[in-house]
Amino acid sequence: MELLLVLSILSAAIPVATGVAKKKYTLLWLYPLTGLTFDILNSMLRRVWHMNNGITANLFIYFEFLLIIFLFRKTVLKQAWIFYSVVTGLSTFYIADTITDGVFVFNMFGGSVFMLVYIFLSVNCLYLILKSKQLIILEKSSDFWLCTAILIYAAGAFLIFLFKQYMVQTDRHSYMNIWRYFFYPVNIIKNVLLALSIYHMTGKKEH
Amino acid sequence: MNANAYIALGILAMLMLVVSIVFFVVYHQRSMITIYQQKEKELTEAAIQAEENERNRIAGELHDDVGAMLASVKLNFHQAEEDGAGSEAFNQSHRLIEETIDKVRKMSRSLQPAMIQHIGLSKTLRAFFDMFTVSNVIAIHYEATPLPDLPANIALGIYRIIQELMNNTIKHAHATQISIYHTATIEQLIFHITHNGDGINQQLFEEYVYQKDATGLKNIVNRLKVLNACINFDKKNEEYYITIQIPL
Repeated sequence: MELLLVLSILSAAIPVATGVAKKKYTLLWLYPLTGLTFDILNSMLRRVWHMNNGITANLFIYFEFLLIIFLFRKTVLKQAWIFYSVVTGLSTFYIADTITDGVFVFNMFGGSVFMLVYIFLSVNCLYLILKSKQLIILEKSSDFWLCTAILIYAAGAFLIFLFKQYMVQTDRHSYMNIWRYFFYPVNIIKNVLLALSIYHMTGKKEH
Repeated sequence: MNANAYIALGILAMLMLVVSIVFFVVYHQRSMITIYQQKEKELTEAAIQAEENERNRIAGELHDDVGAMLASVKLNFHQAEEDGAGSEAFNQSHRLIEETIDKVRKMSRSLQPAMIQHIGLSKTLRAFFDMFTVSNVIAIHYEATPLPDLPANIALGIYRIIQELMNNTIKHAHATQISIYHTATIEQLIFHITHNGDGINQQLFEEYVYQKDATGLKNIVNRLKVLNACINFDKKNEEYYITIQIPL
């Protein structure tokens, strides 16, 4: 296995370890733990047991969506009706789209829609931090690091997910390079920033 | 370049945009914190300056009035020792002692309106407004409905804020008619002030408060912070409205 892939998978252990060290077993901690578990499982299925990992990949994308949407519940999606509409609407879309394409095929288009939603949520969250009357030191803000982590991850993954099919058909080798040199580093950055977010968690409402 | 290279460039552009957004947020927040710290510093300086001015005023009054009166009393007593009880010097000393007592009482009242503790905020405010209405130049309508029991420090804080607002409304806004009433719930006490002068809105208040000579407004802001209260200035139909919300 190549080094970047291993680093990308293992980077999720940084926020998990931070959560364990700080005894912060929250939803935020559960996110990298889910990522780590699914990444290991996906790699084992594909590279060791040479099996299709479409189902686990689709499941991860969906669990990730649920975790992220719940993480933004107290900041961006405060109103219950908006929150439940977004969860129900996007869940229906993703499940329907996955079934249409086949559950054994990694639903990249559904994933790209989620990435777009994450970009919107993170930017909105950053805007709320700026708009807040309570001035916070950003470097010590868990919400700020979370928004930055999700924003960088979603911005890096969005176009890769959206154009995956097209890129594979055009030039599979360059697609693999794009995945390798964009997605893995972005995933590593995300996990490091998530660790910072967990480290600075206080349990208090920040803004 | 093939299509994948363009997509790679697109990803790179998106990442750069995201990093720019994050940097902008950090930069903006840092500027806001610097401005906030500067404002806090100005408010603290204003509070210190106000305290210093008050000390100077008291020192001046003690030296010029009370000190001079007591010196006269001392001289008159020397004369009275020679002339005996019931002399002009003795009577003059008696009058001066009464004047000194009166002066000290007034100074004490200006420092701490003792009435608040005894008759309550509502009646103390009424007495304060009556001092203005005696002149017939200004009409103050105050609906003195009963107020909830307030701790002494909160009552004094509210009194000082309203005192400063009234002084400003008369001195700077040149109002001739002022109306004041308050509403109270379990959670908060709200004072509503309306006047017909040349007042200010919220935006102007926020501009003026950080000007160097706006000591009065800075004192209001400092007292509001102590009470955890907020103030709002507004203008509707040629009338100016001031609302003070004090959490209880």
